Amino acid sequence: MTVRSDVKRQWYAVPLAWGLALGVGLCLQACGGGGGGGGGSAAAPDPSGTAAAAGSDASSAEVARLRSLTGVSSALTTATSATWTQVGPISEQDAARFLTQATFGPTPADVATLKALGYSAWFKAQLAKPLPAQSYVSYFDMRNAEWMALPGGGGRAGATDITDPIWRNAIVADDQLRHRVALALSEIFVVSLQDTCGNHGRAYASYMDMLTRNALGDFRQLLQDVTLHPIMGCFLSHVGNQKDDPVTGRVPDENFAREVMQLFSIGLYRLNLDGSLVTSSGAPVPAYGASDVAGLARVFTGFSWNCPMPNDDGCFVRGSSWVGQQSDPDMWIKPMVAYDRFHSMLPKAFLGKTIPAQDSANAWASLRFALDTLAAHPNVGPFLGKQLIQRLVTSNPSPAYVARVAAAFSNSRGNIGMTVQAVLMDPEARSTAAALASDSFGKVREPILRMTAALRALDGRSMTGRYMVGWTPTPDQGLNQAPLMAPSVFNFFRPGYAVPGSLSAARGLVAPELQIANETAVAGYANNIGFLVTYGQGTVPNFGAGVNGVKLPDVYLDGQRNASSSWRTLTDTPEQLVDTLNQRLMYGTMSASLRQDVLAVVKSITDPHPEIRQPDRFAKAVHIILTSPEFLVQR
Amino acid sequence: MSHPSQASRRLFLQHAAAFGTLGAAAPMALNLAALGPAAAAGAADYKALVCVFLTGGNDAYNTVLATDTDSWSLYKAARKAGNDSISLLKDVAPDANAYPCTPAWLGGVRALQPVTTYGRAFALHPSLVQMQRLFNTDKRLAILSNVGTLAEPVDRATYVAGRAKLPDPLFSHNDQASQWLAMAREGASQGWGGRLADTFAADNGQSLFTAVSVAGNAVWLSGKTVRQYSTNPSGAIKYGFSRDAAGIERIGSNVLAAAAIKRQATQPGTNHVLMKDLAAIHQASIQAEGQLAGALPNLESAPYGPASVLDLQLPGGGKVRGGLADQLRMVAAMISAGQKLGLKRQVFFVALPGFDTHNGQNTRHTQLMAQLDHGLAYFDNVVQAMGLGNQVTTFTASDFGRTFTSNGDGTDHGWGSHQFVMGGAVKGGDIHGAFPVFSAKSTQNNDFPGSPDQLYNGVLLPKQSAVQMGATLGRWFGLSGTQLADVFPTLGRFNSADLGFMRA
Repeated sequence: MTVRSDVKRQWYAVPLAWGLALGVGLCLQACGGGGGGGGGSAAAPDPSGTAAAAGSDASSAEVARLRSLTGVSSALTTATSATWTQVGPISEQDAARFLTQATFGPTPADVATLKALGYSAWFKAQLAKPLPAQSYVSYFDMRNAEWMALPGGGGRAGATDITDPIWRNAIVADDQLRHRVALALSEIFVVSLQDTCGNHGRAYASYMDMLTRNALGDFRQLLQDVTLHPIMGCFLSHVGNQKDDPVTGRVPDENFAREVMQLFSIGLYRLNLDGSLVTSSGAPVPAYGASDVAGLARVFTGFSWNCPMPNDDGCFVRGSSWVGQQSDPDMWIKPMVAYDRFHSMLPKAFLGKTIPAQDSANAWASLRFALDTLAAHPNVGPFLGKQLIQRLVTSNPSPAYVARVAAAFSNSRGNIGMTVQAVLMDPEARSTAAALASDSFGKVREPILRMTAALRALDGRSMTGRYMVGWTPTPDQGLNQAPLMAPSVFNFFRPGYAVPGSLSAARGLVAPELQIANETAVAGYANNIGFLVTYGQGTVPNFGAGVNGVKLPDVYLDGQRNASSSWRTLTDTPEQLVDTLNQRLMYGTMSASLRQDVLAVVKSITDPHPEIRQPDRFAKAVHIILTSPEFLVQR
Repeated sequence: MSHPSQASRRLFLQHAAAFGTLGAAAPMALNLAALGPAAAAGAADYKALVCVFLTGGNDAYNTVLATDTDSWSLYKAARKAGNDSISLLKDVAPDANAYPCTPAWLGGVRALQPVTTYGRAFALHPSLVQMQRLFNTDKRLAILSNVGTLAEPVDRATYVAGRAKLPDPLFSHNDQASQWLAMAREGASQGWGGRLADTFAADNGQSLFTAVSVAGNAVWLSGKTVRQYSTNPSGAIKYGFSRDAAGIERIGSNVLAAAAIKRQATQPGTNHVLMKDLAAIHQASIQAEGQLAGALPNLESAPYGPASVLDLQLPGGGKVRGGLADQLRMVAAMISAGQKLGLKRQVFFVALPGFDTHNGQNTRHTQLMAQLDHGLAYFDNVVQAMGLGNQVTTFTASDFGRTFTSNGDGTDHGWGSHQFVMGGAVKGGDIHGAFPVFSAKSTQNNDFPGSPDQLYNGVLLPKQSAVQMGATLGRWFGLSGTQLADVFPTLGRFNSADLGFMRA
């Protein structure tokens, strides 16, 4: 280890009131937004005109009302939380390690900024950043126009035109926290381009805009925007879902009702604040049963696409009127609207509450009650909080850590930004000494984060400026992962996945990211890295200089392709090269064994021509590190 | 090969030695070599068991249909609801002018002639053309009626009263898939495929190719000692470097770099358990690719290829190359490699996703049935051409069945379902287990009180357990009663450990 930190740290027990006060202050900056997101921000009014408007542009009174309903439990008010307090300057190692958790990977500039600001001001600055200037929808539309302008009528924008700007933001955007959390949310509130709904690419771009908009905001708002997004309506089949028909026996589609509970809010079993299962006679207590699903399924009836002729049933059934075929060109990015005549009027009983029979159907009233009920369920804090810890910090947090994060969720009235701050500023996350002394703390970096960490640490460049990282989901020659391309609503990996027969499983530890690591995928990843350090990564633009007539991919490492890169000259001082790579990629944790191997290989490359020797040294050094388990596990 | 078992053991040791010291990071199967032949069953013959998992919950009601007058009218009544009727037709020719994949376009269901009729008549989904032949003519395909996850036998009254011990949580995709494959909810660490294979680990020389997935990570393949090997439909992938004619690994011309990458990928300089677990996967990947390089047959040559035999024109448009048949081609190739390496038993896992047909069921299910039909028929042809027609048994499993009722254009999560078993060792051409009795829907609600086999929304209450199905296959695989009881601890709760669908 070449970087040492001697800064003294202390653990302080801080009353939650402090965190709450901070939370409200931050939220004023972070939560007043809306507006961005490529036109998908405002819920269209209920076409019947009888229900109150709700949606992203709800009044501040509505926001306050929603917040007051979220996850408040009297048992929590007496809880205290240990919060990390930084004493003295932040070390280089601590800064790089924090940014590994909170962002898509440290850069020298971000390390310097964090050290100058301190954690608290860093969060404040991140939360104050405006939404991205270019939404995913606008990028998609731009690409679509480019494709259509190609000779011969060209083509249409596709999946990589949705994922490329996600990569770009991950690699170069300065509002890193928002984008990092948005990616985490996309792995909890899953929609997938691999589904047949993937034909509606613009909708996925809009969904990612929505997650980005809500990433540091209110859970209750997020839950509503997820529920009403037409791509979720397509993915979990509640768009155009109709009420019961007692004559034919037709029942409401139960798909969304089940998954919104199992995956998006409360989970299968009742949880204690620390994430452990509530048990009865030794058995876990289900959070809901089949009748709750059936009751909740009635709530999610009568919602369908925004449409100019809502009284025409074609609008509800297919988003286009039977008469005149009228449809809204933005039907896939505007929130779904209520069609009360298709909404169930029957009593809707779930989770111990009942929406009574409605004399006239009121889909909005049902929806608000249902989402309020879900958001206020005591499971949400530990259920969501633990998953956020797993996405950002460690696969196996202590129960006390989960409890502190769940308390922060509750005490911030379900604010995700505050919850994320609690995740990252917990002593368990911040104590570098304890983490590095542990033989199990941390998590396997998921493939997306490996690539972003490498491109950020090693000065990744883009010929187009678009960072067209391209098609990455294939296991045999890609990353076995790409944003928004999970195989199902159960994500790429499950929070409780343990590797059968593994050392970690034998110790009762989970390793979610290893669900997509197998003999094929690790070899595919290694080959991808070999390609990255030799040629670059991603889509090959139809311009730019090639090598020996071969056009090169858009994204590349500066030291790999740029002859005047400072990385090139650095390779002629092998020890300094390894020290720099150690700090940039591994916050100074490289083992003696890895260091020795990298040095030996670098020094063995002795071609007298610097234009041959230097990029080769750089490529081999990076290759060894990026495929080593030492890099692949974030501690 | 006169002593294939020894040969494979030598091969294994060679490759193990290539890694130098085998530390704790070595894969489980490697470590066990040091323990000696603890569980040698002394198998002389070769057998393989292939699980085809229909991910998402297959609609059994539209896969195997009861077509006698009473059953059919109850089926039609339950499924007529909705703007896009999902009730299939019988005794009609396909209507080419109808909208693609609708029941009218498909034409009638395909009649079965089972040995046992239960006084009723049966048929398959219209897309199951070759499976109809495999069932009626070739007698190489059997149907297991109303099988599902069960913790113990349950009757309707006990279930309705809430007194039944259940394989919780019901209706949840990931948990019920895990109950099928590992007899526990999600998070289980051992599946019964791997547990069956454990018995033969020594006969196999602890080979990595004892349990192979062509569909990503699958708990079904993990045993106490056996761990899964995951491969691609096109074969093993080289780990970041090439191998020259002398077998020396290099990156470009750099031998030292290849050795460093390999060493660091497989032997991290720390004690971190996640790093060690990753290293074990790296090691298995590199080791397996080396072994397979000389053992896998050419996938393009008969009987595995040419690749065009994998092509399927989907009903309703579109062509797929690959999918299920592509995965099964790799299974056949791995069987061939397994024979070459002297293996005695192999278990395989492949998957066909997309069965969660909450909506658009007519098109989705029709295309999935076509892929299942194409994949199974392709695989049966290849296996027979390999001369292993009686030694390879293939079966389907799925998260759960689906509701009898319709939600308009699809179905919701159910429980019991029907499954297929294929191969020369199967008592084909028959439906094993009493076919569920259908009831009319209550006039009050969506219960089906007239049937002992149907629950709310017509969900099937399983009458045969996945555990019994596994044990029946396990007995054919060569396990003793004691060994089966060890693999399936709940087996004793059921009245029979053998569902009788395999030949003795």
